[in-house]
Amino acid sequence: MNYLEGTIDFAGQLRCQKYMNYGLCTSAVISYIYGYLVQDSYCVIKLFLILASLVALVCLPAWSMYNKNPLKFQKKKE
Amino acid sequence: MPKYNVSDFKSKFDKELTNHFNKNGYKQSFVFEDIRLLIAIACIIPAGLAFGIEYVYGFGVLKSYLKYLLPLYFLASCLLTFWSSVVKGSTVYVATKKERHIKISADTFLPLKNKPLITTKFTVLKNRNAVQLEWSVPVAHIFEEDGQISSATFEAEISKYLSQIEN
Repeated sequence: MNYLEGTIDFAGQLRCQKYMNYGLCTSAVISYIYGYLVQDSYCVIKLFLILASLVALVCLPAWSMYNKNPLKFQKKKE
Repeated sequence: MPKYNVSDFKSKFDKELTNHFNKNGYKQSFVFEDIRLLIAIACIIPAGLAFGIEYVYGFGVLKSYLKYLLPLYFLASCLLTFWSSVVKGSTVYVATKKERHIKISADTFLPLKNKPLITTKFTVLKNRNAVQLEWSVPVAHIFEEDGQISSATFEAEISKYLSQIEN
């Protein structure tokens, strides 16, 4: 359940943001080039959706690699 | 409450800051919010008029009025954006303490970083002299494990800066 809860530390958020930005830009460029080569705009959309799903798989769940730098918050005072 | 939520930390911090100054005899001013509300109403008026004219007289009549209503709406919208993003900006608190002739405004920033710091910029206007003070505190130092702000630490940290403001 922790994977779906989505709690990741700040360093993880920065890393995830980087993966998402680079991943989506690369997916768009690859899809465009592929669509241009096969001369089919429908292929651009299909390939982009497949690649974007892969990026989502990397970025959306709270993988343990995003929780490697937990902060030491103050202990709760009663 | 989920931990590591920058916007949640910022809103909790802003609320604590506001409460702290209000408790210490400052009278909060809502001038930025009041003016923003007036500009927002100025946006709604031409839009409402256009809707009313079309509803009552039809689009044919509305067309002749659109050349006045559209620029008015555009201007008011631009003014609203300018006011919210430039004039008000990140100011979260404006207040005065009349007996000490002090006026303060506080802007808070919390950029996403590995070990984020909440930075508050105070502008203090005392006897017509403006002084800028900056207070930065690590998020992990001021928030507890469950994501709530530690009031005791907050009070202890800000008291040092309050003494700088008032003396």
